[in-house]
Amino acid sequence: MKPIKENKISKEEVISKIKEILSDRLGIDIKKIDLDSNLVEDLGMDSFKAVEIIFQIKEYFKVQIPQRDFLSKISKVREIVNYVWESKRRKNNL
Amino acid sequence: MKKRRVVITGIGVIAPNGIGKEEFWRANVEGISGVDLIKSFDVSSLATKIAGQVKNFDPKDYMPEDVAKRVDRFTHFGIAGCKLALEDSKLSLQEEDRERIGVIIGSGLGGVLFHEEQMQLGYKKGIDRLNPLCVPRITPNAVSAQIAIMFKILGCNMVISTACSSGAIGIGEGYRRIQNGELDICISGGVEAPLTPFTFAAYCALMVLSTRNSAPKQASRPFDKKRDGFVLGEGGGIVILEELSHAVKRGANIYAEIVGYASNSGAYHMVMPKPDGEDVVRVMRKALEDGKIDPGEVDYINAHGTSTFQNDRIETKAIKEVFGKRAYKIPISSTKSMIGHTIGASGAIEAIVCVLSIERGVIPPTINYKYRDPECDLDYVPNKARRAKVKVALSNSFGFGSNNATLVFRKVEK
Repeated sequence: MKPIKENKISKEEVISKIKEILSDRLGIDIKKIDLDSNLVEDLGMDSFKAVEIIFQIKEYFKVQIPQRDFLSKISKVREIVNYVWESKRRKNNL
Repeated sequence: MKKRRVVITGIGVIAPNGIGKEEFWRANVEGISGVDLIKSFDVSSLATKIAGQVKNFDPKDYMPEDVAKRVDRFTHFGIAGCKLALEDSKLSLQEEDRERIGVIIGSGLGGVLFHEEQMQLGYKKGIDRLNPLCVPRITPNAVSAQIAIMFKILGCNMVISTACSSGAIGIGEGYRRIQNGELDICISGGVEAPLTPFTFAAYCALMVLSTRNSAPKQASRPFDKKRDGFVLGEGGGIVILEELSHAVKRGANIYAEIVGYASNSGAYHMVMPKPDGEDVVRVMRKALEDGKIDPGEVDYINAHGTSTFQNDRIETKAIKEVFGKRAYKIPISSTKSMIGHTIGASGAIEAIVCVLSIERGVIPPTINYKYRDPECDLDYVPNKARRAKVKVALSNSFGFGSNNATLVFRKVEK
């Protein structure tokens, strides 16, 4: 997986890439993943798979989501998207 | 206390010259080599450019995709071999006491493919970039662990690492645990996936590999005078070991019985075999004694026969010492001539050859035998398979670091 080169990325791209990562790591058809899917209940994520997903997000977006945040504050796909999107925006504004 | 008897009731094999017992056996009987030029990575700077590569193998045919992409190639071979062996045995695991089933697999090297990829990445881009699956993918016991998880095996779960004898010792230790009452069933064998840039180059650097790049299929030529080293190979051999009455009770197909096993040490050198072969003599004798088999009863020897100058002459010498004049009359073959040397898998794959030769009454040949070496003057079943009644077969495996193992198999009369 090649990381993105620059910080300019649309929210749609963030959404589609995160869905791609989730589909690949959780072995779920990408069409079955929507923004309101619950990571644990709907997509079967466990704490070990969370580590893989955090790693893939860091590789691609250069955004490090601390594991405790990922497990405690994030429960839906939308919340990962927002986390990444906000981090990217903060970086761009600086 | 009377020792419990142990039989083989399932076979799963992934080899450079065939996947599955039927394709593999046909290749061995027809003398088909699985050795080719290496295409998966750049070998242009290396003296050796050939290996026994497993072809047409898609791990997804044997395991769920999410497992296939999270484990190394050596584990792919283990899971695939296990699935084939379990299917062949017709065991229904859900009816068994899973605590009485174990898994013992040999692997000399572990997950070197992923290890190398991650090392390169770490050096190039920083060690903070390593994949979270590094440890569980690379560790040598990943193979037994993944098998245990996938098939819910609750007895022992371990990997044996004794270089080129790992597969034989994997089977031998499974046999012992059933014999002494600890287990009723053991998934045993060996796997290896050493065809990766760094590992392959490391064997090249040791100068133990054949450099007959112009004729890959003729490169592995055990006992032939013009042998110039072994051909590295990859693959896996898994067998289902079962306590005899357990197998009989469920009406299983019994290939053969394991009657003898021994492992020992020559305490000599990390790479070179002991020149007088006394350790090899001892290990064969010990295995025969373990099975109360007289040397006169052995009908076939599957030799370690690596195609190196030293191994083949020392193994020949040792066989002569153990079997006396009869050594000249026992058919001996090295199936490494067709498979290459699959390191930790070799002892298990060769055990499967022995067991099938007992079942089918055919001895596979040593191919590429052309020029007679005065120091290797036994009957190596040159070039053509031979029909023969095989009641007792013996298989030798010797590992780097001066360790040896011998397994003895016997036909079970019905």
